[in-house]
Amino acid sequence: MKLKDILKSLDCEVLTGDINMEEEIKYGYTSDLLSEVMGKARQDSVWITVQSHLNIVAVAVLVGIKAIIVCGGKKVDSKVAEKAKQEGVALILTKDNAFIVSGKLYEIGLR
Amino acid sequence: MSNVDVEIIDYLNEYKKIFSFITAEEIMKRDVITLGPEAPLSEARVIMREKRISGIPIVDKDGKLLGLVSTERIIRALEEGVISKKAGEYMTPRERVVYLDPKDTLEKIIETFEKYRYGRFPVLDENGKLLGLITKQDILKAILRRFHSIYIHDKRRDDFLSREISLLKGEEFLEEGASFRYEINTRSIAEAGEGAALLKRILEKRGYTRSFIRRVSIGTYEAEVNVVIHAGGKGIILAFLREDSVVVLVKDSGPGIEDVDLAMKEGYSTAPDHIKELGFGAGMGLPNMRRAADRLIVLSQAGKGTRVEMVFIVREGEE
Repeated sequence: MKLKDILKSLDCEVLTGDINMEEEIKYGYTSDLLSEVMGKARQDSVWITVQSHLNIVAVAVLVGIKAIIVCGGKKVDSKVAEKAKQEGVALILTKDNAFIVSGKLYEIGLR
Repeated sequence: MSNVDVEIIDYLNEYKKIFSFITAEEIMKRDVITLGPEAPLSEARVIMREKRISGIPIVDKDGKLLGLVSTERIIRALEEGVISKKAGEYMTPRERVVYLDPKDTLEKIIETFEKYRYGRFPVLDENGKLLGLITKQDILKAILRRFHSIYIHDKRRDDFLSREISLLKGEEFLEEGASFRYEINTRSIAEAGEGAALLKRILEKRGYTRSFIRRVSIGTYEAEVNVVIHAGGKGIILAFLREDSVVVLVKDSGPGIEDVDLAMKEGYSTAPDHIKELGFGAGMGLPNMRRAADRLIVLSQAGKGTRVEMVFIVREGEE
């Protein structure tokens, strides 16, 4: 499923414009522990987290994650969005919590 | 002496400075099987075969070394048809045996191994009494025993000493020879991972496969994050790129890891709470490195820093 279609099911704000919107996404991973994401998340997935600091971009780049969904209405520093753009990772904000977001994405077929 | 043995020496050589204060006394095996000079060579042969040892010291009744019977000697005795001779008549005599002093340092010991290329060296006190025996295996065992802070992970760890380890030759780790060098210099945890990201880009340019790059990236990132969290943010990342493998070396001069075996356990972490709140310090850093790398060697000494060496070998079918 394309990222832009996935996001239709969420109440969210995209901070990185068109980046990765046309990318095919198959998997989701929900965790706030960076090393766990490092070790276990698959390539070409979306990552659902409450972490919002600069390092989430680095983790996403290294793992091959296409989009980060920052949950719980967390604020994101402009530096983080800047870095995400630069590195080609979609950065998305939502007020929903990680449980709700994960559930919604599971419902539409992400695994 | 086989090439494999030569490479083990190279390997130990790389570490001899780090462990320079270990002495022969500490390394040597004490319960050495010995024979008297009257014992026939055939008996030495049986013992060597059954105990899988490559040399037997011949001692007098006071434990003074008279000579040494090695497998090479036994083979020659067999060829010459003199296997029923007494050990005392056919051994390498004391004056031709190269031996070590109990106070000799690891550096001296390794030099001796390099210079003479024998499989084992007896350790003698000032009166010529046999105190113990040192083989290369004993050196590594002693290092492993003494330092909780060395961890070697290898898929073939058990026969670590008998396999080809050309990837770990000392000269390849000279800083000048590195294809990639990055100085870690940030106390800001949010910025950790910069080095790993740069390395990733270089690997992409070089055309390594995606899964391979991912493995290298994960390992490097975790090691880098550790330097930022635990070593005051100062360290260095070196990478050595070859067609079929990448070696990543991450060094710091931080406080060191107290217990590497414990640090290897998933979920164990010494990171402070404010770091954990950011999602770091989940106790998965070293376990992740171990999973990503084909070989991981962590050397750490209290107060002297940590050195992480990861070998990534391009796997067949890795896309």
